[in-house]
This record gives sequence, C-alpha cells and structure tokens, in this order.
Amino acid sequence: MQYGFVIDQTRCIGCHACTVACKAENDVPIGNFRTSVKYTELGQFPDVRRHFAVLRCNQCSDAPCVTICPVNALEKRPDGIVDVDRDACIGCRACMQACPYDALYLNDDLGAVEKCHFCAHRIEKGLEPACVVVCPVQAIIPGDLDDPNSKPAQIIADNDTKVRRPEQGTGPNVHYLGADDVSLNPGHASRPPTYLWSDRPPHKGESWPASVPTVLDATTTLDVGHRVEWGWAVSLYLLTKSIAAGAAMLAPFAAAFGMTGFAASYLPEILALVLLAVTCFLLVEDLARPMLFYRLLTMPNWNSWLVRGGIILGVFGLLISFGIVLRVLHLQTAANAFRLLSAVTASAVAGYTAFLFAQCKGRDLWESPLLLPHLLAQATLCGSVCFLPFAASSLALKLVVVISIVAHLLLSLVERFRAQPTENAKQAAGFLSTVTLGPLSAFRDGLIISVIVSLVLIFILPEAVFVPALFGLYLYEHAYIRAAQLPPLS
Amino acid sequence: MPYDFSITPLESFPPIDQWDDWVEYDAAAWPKKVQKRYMLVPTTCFNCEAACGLVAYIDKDTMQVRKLEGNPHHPGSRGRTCAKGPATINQINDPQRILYPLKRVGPRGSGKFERTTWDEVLDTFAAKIHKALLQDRRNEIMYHVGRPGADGYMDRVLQSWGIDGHNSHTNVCSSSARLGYALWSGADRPSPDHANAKFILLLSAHLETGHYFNPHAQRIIDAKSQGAKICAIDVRLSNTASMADYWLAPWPGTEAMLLLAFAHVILQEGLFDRSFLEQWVNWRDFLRAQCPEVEPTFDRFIDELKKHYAYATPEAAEAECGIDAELIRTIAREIGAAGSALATHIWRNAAAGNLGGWQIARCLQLLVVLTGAVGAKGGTCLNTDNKFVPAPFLKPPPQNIWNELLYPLEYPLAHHELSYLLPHFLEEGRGKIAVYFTRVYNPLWTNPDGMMWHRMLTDESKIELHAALTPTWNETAQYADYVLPMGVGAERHDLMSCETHAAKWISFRQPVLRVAKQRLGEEVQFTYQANPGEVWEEDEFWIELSWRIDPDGSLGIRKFYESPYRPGEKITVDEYYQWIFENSVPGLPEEAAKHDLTPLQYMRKFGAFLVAEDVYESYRAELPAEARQDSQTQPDGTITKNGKSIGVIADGQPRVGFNTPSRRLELHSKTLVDWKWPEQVLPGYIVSHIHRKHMDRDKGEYVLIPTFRLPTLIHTRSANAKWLYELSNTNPVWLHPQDAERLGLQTTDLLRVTTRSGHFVNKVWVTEGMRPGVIACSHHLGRWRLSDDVGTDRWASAKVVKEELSPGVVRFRRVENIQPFASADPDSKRIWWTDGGVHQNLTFPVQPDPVSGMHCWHQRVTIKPAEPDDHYGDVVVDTNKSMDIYREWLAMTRPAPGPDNLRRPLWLARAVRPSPKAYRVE
Repeated sequence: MQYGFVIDQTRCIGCHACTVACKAENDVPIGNFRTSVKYTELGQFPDVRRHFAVLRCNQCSDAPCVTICPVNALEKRPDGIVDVDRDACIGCRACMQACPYDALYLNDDLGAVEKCHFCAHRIEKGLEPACVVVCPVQAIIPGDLDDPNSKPAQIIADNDTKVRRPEQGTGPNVHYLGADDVSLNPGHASRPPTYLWSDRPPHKGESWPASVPTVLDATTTLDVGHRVEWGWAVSLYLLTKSIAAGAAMLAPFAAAFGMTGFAASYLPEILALVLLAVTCFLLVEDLARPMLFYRLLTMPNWNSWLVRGGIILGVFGLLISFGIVLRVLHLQTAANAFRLLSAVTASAVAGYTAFLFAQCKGRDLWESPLLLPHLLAQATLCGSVCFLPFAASSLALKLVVVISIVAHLLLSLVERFRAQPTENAKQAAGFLSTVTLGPLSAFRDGLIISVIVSLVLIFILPEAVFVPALFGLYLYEHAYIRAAQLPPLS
Repeated sequence: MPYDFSITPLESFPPIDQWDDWVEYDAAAWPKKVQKRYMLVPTTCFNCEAACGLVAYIDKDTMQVRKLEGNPHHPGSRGRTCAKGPATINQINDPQRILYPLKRVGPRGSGKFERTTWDEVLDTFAAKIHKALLQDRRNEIMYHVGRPGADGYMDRVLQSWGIDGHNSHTNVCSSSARLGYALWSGADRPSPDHANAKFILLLSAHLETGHYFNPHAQRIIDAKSQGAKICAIDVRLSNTASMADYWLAPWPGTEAMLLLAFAHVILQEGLFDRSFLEQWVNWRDFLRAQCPEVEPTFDRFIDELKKHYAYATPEAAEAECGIDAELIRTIAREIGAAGSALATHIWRNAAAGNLGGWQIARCLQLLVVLTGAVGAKGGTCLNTDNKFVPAPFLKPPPQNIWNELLYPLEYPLAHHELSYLLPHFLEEGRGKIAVYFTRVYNPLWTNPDGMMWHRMLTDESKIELHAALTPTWNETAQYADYVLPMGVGAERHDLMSCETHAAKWISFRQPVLRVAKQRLGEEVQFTYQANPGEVWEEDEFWIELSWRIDPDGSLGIRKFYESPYRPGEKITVDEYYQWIFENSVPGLPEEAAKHDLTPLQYMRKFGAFLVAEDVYESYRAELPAEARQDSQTQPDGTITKNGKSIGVIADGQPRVGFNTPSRRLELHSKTLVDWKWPEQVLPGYIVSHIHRKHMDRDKGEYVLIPTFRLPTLIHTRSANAKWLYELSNTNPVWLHPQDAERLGLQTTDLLRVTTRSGHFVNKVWVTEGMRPGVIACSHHLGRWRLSDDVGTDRWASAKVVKEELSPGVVRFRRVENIQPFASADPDSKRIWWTDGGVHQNLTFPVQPDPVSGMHCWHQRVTIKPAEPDDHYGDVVVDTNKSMDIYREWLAMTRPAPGPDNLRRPLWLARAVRPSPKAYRVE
C-alpha cells in the first residue's frame, strides 16, 4: 500500500486554500508550511501565463529523511505515509538536508521537525487529508497508488504525469498532471528580490550566481521560504573534526617529523582528544533539543551515518584515551600500537562525513565522490599545520603541509568548476562564489588565505602557518556548508 | 504502534449523524493517539459575500472552536472553501481583537478609548435616535454598511424606524455593472451557469476573487475539464487569466468596443439566436425610435442593428483595444458556436474602473442576449432567478421619505447610494448626521479621497455621534465615538442566499458556541453570553436598540420587535428565524419533518437548505390567471394592466417576461432617453476618462489600475488573519519591462505615482503580466495605524505619522514597519514579513460616473522614479483639490426630476425602497 496524491494542475487555481487549511488542521507555525503553492510566470506579454505548483512531501518510496534520521523519529508506515514522531525527534535537522523537496521544517517551539504526513491522524479515522477536502476545484486527489483501481493510480496510468526531481531516485508519490516543467524544476526560473504580493522570506539572501543561467522569461513570483538550517556550528564541526582526525592520522610520524619530548609523546593525542570534545560539543549544541543527544545511542537508526559517525567518534575517543593512558603508564609499545590503530580510525573520523553528506539527498554538492579524498586531505592539512610549531624545521612535515594544501586547492577548484552531474549541484557550486562571511568572500578568500597566505608563511614563519590555514579552511567550510543549502528545492 | 487501516475508502466529511459527538485524533499530539471529542456546528463564512458553508469544530472539553472546515450540506460551496474559510479561526483567536465596547475619551482620532457597558451604549444611541425621530429629523440617522453578509434584516430594521437611512459601499464596488445589467432586464446581477457552459467569458477574476469566487471557481473548472473554453478579459495577468484559453488585455477603458466587435461578428455571420431575439427583445421599440418610417419587421431590425454596429469591426477594435482582429473573430465565432451555453460575468473589473463602465456591462449582456443565453442551461441567468430571500414576519411599510444624502437629484439612475460622496455633500452643507453607524465598513481607508472622510469624521458638527460596529480594528474605527465589537462569521446569526448557480438556496450563519451550548442543554439567552468577551451579534443589538428607542410603542416601532409567538414580549433572535423557516421557505418545513426536526432545528443542524434546483428560463413562467384578470394584450404581444405592462405573449402563452417596462429585454432603453441620456439609448462604447488618447506617455502619464484583488485577502478585513497576511503582504506597482527600462527602474526600486490630488511612493514589480503603458496596484494592502495599541492589527499595519506639510497638504509617513510583537499568540513573535504595502486610495479624488454614480477607479497618473526625500510608503494628499475635482465630475450629471417629476425611474430597483410617494420631488 502506498498513499499518494495526484495534483491536477490543469484544475488548480493557485488559491492557497490547501495552504491555509493545512495550517489550521495541523497548527503550523508562522513562517513554515507543510504544503504551499508556488507561482511561476512564463512568457512575454501577452503570451504569458502564471503556472501553479502545489508543493509538499512526496511520501517517498525510498525516503531519504527516514534513512538519515538518527533516532528513528521518521518512519515509513505500512500505508506508505512518511510520518514523524515529534517526541522522538532530537532536532538535528539532518532530514531537512536529506529531503530533496524542502518538505520538512523545524517547529521552534517544540525543537522537533514536522512535515506533511498525509493527515495520518485523519486517515486513521477514515477522513481525507484537510487539503483535499478544502480544495475548491478538487485538484488534489488522494489514494493508494498501489491499487490500480484507485483514482490517482488511474490518472497516473492514463496520463503523462510528472514527479519532482526524479533524478534523486527517491520514488516520489506525489504526481503532477499538467504541470509545466519550469514550475517543477527548481532554479529554472529566476527569483526576484520580492514576490508579486508577498515579501520574499528573508532567508537565503545571496544573489543568484551569474554562472547559472535561468530560463528566459521565467520568474518565480510567489513561494514560501526555507531557512538554512546548518550554519556555523556545522562548518566549525568540520574544521575541529579535521584537526582531531589529522592530528591522530599524523601521530605515528611525530618522531619522524623531529618532534620530541612531550610534543612527540602526548601532543597529537591531546590535540585529538580536545578537538574531538569540541566536535562533540558542537554536534550536541547544534541539536534543537541538545539534552536528548543520548537518544543517538538509545534509539539508534543504524542506517544513519549520524549514528555510525557517532560510533566512530566514540571509538576514536576511546582509542585515543587508551593511548594516552598507556603512554602515561610507560607502556610505549602498546601506546604506539594504539597510536597506529587511532590513525586508522582517524581516517574514518575524517571521512565518515562524506557518507553522511551522501545521505543528504537534498544537497547534491555534498554528494560528490571527491568529498572523501577532500576530507582526508583537509584532515592531513589540519594535522600537519598544527604540528608545525613543534617541528618547524622538518622538511618532511612541510612537504606534507604543502601537498595537503595543494590537494585542498585542487579539489576545491574542481568542486567549484567541474561539470556537475545535477542542476542542484551546479547551482550550489555557483553559490560557492556568492557566499560571504563579513566582508570576505568565503570561498575565494578562504582559498587565498588557506593556500596562498599559508604557502608564503611556511617560508617565513612556519610556526604560524596554522593560523591562516585553519582560518582559511573555516571560511571554505562556511562556503561549502552554506552554498549547498542555498539552491531552491521548490 | 498499531495502525488502523480498516476504514477505506476515505470520506471527505464526518457523517452528520455523528456531529454531536465526533471523535478525532489530536493533530498536535500525533502520532500519539489522543482522542478529541468535538461538536460540529455549521455556520456561514463572513469573509466575502459568497456565503459559503462552514462547519466549526468545537472542542467539547474546552468549549473552544478548534478549526473550521467546509459544510458539505451547503448547495453553493459543497463543502469546499477558499483560503479565507479556514482562516476564520485566526479572526476568532486574534490576540488583538476588540472584546468589549469602547468609548472615546480624547478628541476624535486621538486613539484614546475606555471600556464601557453595552447598556450605556444602547441607552445613548436609543435616546439620540428617539429624539431625532420625534423631531422628524429622520434623515439624520444613517446606517452605512460595508459587508452586508445578510439579506433583508437591516432593511426591516431601518424601515421599522421609518427612516431612509441605508447607505452601502456598492458605489465603490459594483454599481456600474449593476446598472448595465438592470437596464437590460431589471435584475442587477448575472447568475452564470458555469457548470454547463461551453464558453465562459469573464470580465472578472472568478477563479480567485469576487462574488462568488469559491462556488463559481468550482463550476468554471468543472466546465473547463469538460471542454468548455474560457476567455478572461483583464488588463493585468490574473490567476483566472492564467487558467483561461484566451487572455485578452485590451487598453483599459476600451472593453466595450471589444465586446461590440464580438457582437459585430455574431451579427454579420448570423451566429445569433433568431427566435430568442424575436420573442424576447424589445426590437419594435428599437425600430420605432431608430427608423419610425419603416415597417417593423424582425428582419428589418436585424439589418438596422447590423448597420448600427457596423463601426465595431474587429479591425476597428484592434486599432482601439490593441487586440488582434483575427483573434477577435476566432473568439466571436466560438461564442457563437457555444450558442445559449454562454456563461459570462462582469463584476468590478472594467465596469468599476471606467467612466461609462455600465455600458461595458451592457455590451457584455448584449452577447448573452444575441446568443439566446439569457436564463438558459449553461448560459447566464439573472440573479433574481437564483437568489432567494425569504420574508420575515411583519414587514414594515416602506418609508415615505427620501434621503438626498443617499440618492441626490444629480444621480437619478445611480444604482446605489452615492456613499463615497457623503463627506462632499456634508461639506457643501447638504445636511448633517446625528447618528452614524458604520458597520464592517472602513471608508476612510477604502473610499477614494479618504482625507475628506477624515475631515467629516473628526467634525462633530457634521457627524454628531458615530459608532463603528466591527469585529476588528480598522482605520475608520480609530475616529469613532464608540467602537462596538461584533461577532465574526462563527459568532452571529444571519440568513443569506447567493446566486451561485442554477439553483436557489439559503444559508444560515450561527454563533457556533451558543448553538453548541444549547445542544448540550445549557440555557443561553443572548449570543454575547457564549461569544468571547462581550462580543455581540448585530441581530440582537438592533432588537435591543429598537426596543429602547420605542419602549412604550408610541413611535410604532416596538411592534416589529414583539415576538410573533409571545404577544407583547420582546422577540428573540431564535424566534425571528424560527418564523422565517416555518413560514417563508417553501419545502423547508416538509424536509425538516422528514428528519423529525422543526424547521429551525433543521437549519441549526444542516446550516443550509436547497430551495430549488435546475432553475432556468424563469422569464418563461406563465403569467398567473389572477394577474391576467382585467388585463389587455397589445398588438405587439405585451400584456398590460392599469397602464402598466405585466407580461408578454410568447409561443402563444402569457408569460411573465422580464422586470422591465416592456417586460422584454431592453436593447433599446427608453429609460435612458427619458432621463436625458438619449445618446446612450443602445449598448455602446463610451470613451473612458483614462482612454489612452488622454495620456501623454512622454510626460510619464500612465493608467493606474488600482482595483485588482488577491485570492488570499478580504478587502480591509484580513488584518486579523495571520495566515492570510503571511501569504500576501505587499502591493508593489506592476510595470511592464519596457516601461521599467524607460524609467530606469528594476523590481523593488521606488516609484512615485502622482494622481490629480496627491502622490504615493511604492516599489516596482516588473512583470510581463502587464500591458505596456499601464500600471496596476492591488487594493487590499497598505494598512496603517497611528498608535501602538489602537488601530489596525499589527499583523497587517505599519505605524505612520500624519503631518501637515502646508495648509491642506497632508503626508502619511511610515515610522515603523510590520514587526514581531508579543501577544498571547506565539506566532506574533514569528512575523517575518515587514512591508504591508502602500495605501493608494487616499490619493484618489472622487470620480463619480454621471449615470451610474459608480466611482470610476482607474486613475490617470504620472510616474517617475522616487525623489531623494521620498520614503517608501509615503502618501501625500492635497485636500484643497478634493472639492474642485468633485465639482468637475458633478458637472457632468443630468439631474432629476425626470418624467412625472420623479427622482428616479420607479421600475428601477433601489435599496430599501421607499414608498412611491417619496419618489416625487416636492
């Protein structure tokens, strides 16, 4: 059984009755929507028309929000409805990154995400969803898509219907009859700074990247807003995690780099442990309900890379701690063995985010196959620049720094300029150039600082290279995290 | 967690037998299965005039309204609503709503009010009205209504007082369209049978707004799905136009010419309905007047008609309207092919915008007549066919006085009161008002020349006592002496009927909490006892007030408020409707009995009743034998009695025909000849005041279309609906890219729009959905308030300061955008929109059409980029020009009296019709 809708855009008049009826039924807070109507205007006077598209959760057959939810708060019900248990949700908003349709929002009052659940509470009382009942023109047709006799299944069988973003492979179960491509393909139409009778919601203020052309004479003229959910904490998490992982990855070579004494024996592990603690703090702090972080362990969804990553971080922390303890106990051989084990685990710490981000089906930029090597290069870069003050004369270490910086540079440029596989990735890559942090262009200046300034400084004051390298890398992460969230999904 | 899939297929609504105790899962607790028990009570939406059915879900634990859905038992809306229906819950729960009667304590407009008692209110007004009636100052009492939302109740109240005091908003709304329709048939509105139409021609936006948006949209789209073609004529790209097969955006003001070109093609190509025309059009009158010398044959009539409209070729229309001649031919042929299945509608649109707008409606109806679509299945019926207003008990006699502040001699054919000229009339010394009720009416904001309203409302010698009856704050209420909170759609009684389709129905608005409590066996005597705070309903207010005006019956008023069931005692609102349902609604008592209910119980349970279905061709109804007694049949088939025509012979049968002097459809309007407009005797083309020949584009002159509405707002009554404001909160000026380029402007750049009496500063919206050379600005937005705690709701209003720049020149300048605020509703802290739009109507001078009296909304304006000192939202008005421009338009009138020393043709409808005696100029 699979509940789904046909939205008949040959009948829809764009009146927003569904939008408001849904808010009334589900008490959706101002600024958020479980369903809404997007307006797109296409053409030139007098051959111009406004096209409507009723946008909402697709109750996906293979729902990425369910896969990524670390605490099983999201669920694919036996009737195909994707429902959310707000009490279980910890507010990590990974589902909002995983959804290619912007179908979820965070209820700030609850600290939990909410979404269209096909009015499951009505369905179980035998009633149609509120949007269906209110629609003046009966353009929203609900039913079991698996039942060939259901009305929506018949419409789908007899007509050339469309779904949103089929390339995402999620198996959407909202089918559109008679919708224009331009209103279903996000980013094809240009977005003016205001809408025809509404302010444009204040999120995502960056101007559209000039490198991404929009369809001529196509304009999005009314749409709802979506916040950028992952911000500085996630960017900083990437950086602190890279430092922790990099320090551990390079730890076995500490002596080889000429580090001695305390620096050789303890610095890598202490650095890793402290930064790991910061990383974990950031992860917890970013939750809308931080006090519920433990549910990652008590209600784990083993398919979620948030859980797997959490386990990796935990194992890593244990290994590092054991290593320190062994070294304090002067059990050098065992400590060195743990150092090796930690280094291997550290590469998992550095790299697991690539698998997590690959589960973010809404952020195509993050799904790049280059992300894994890039994360490893970043970790190496972070680890090596942090070692430099303690081994400033080590040519080998400098070589590692230079190689990792150059790798970061090359991978960054490739991400920015390569032929992207999807529209969303192309748009996100374009946005890399428009994201700013204060007066700085995050991507460009991030690279200038982390690459050029660092490379120059390595000859002048190698002890201080970590400052531009890490700062520049943070700028880069800021661009990378934000840009991927900027392209419209509606 | 267990799932319950036993219930399939899905139903749309809870079955009515469970409405007293409907169990639903709490959406807020979901997926925890918390059962909530509701009582479902039907009512009628009050957010536009369509009277769609709603059902309130009342939580039986808290006795609060949880939500409102559509009422499946409502014949017009069929269980569905637009966005405004479910938004009613916002209005009920609005944290800023007025809960108690307020009395002004500072000077008018100072924003200082204190809570008072309803007793004090009623006694104050009763005493003042009593005195005015005793002193025969009956024309000093005025009730001024914005949204009626009821049929007949107030007519009865006002006539029971013996006053001619009903003022309305109609002349800023639909008067021109109404006059155009009325001249044809006596019925002032169309009732298109969209569901069965083959061609739908709209000079309206009924897929998004207007009377009756939701019921009409349902049926238009049903027809579209069945293959009907839709043509929308609208200067800007509406949602309706977007769904149409043809969108025509002619030069504004040339619409009549376009319609006549359709008629031209239909006549030339013989696509008209010959037998219908021969039978039902007063073509003999036409021939008699046009060419009295010829033999009056129908063929001759057709020849002469072709000759008369020979000028309206598609090519001539192309030159005039800017619409391709071939396209005009194509559409005309499609109209002809649809035959009598031609559904059409004009409501505001061009009729409300242009000088001579009433002729546009008349030209549209010409197409309906030519195709024989009048009253036909799939055609265009008359509102009188499909609207059913049941009579109340003891109807008062018509008043025997005439109020010239409402219907002045200058406007004998004005279809409704010259409402928006009231301040100008008072300024001229035509009278004063002792007691003024504004009811769900915001003239200061809505009407043109709002500063004249400001002047009037703040002058205690012109308006001695002013009560604003309103569910929510508005700009006008800020200037009232009393602000009296009245219930929203779920908190009051009203009875309504609308011509939504080829049927007749009534819909009952109910105070849902009162009804719920009564169902639970609680004694509720008055609606305010169940409503929030001390929010009253008007029905009870008028009963109480009337009772106190005439406590001993000496004024002859009291008897109309005595119970028909308990002689001598004061009527209750239950009894008022009980009597109507028992005595005036055919079929209702029988239907109720089938359900084992009294008629009142039936209406309380179902909320609506279908009086008749498939109502077509009412004009063909047989003239009753009783009426035919002592009548004569004239050679042309007209049946007359006592010198008055009462029917016609058609198909050999005596039939009632149309409610016109000729009992036929009046192509030739003798009324217009008699009342000094002989050049307009036929449907024709009047060159609008904003015709492009009047424009100098090089000087930056443009036409401003300020009338269009949005699907998600309600005139000036959405400010208390957060979910509607979240969707629609700005009204930028629409400008075609060519014009934007010419001015060097882009979307969001500031533009100064200068009218004849002021200017406003708004931002630009560059769009292909606008004809080059024309600009447009939606009319709902730009709400303002002068202080923080009084005035229009903060969901919607910007705070402004009013400054006098020089004598008579006033500027409103925004000092605070819309911003989040603290309230009992956590959503008020989440407001993310800031704009709220710009108030344009303040800068419009009055432009009364000399015939219909309709304010001609379209403006000739000059546009240019904003000047350095201009701020977004600035509104500057030179009030010194108001009266001059008023007089300029007034000079175009051709005043009464007409034939027989009449103020107005007796046959033409008039709101709250006085006795015939009052029609004569003394």
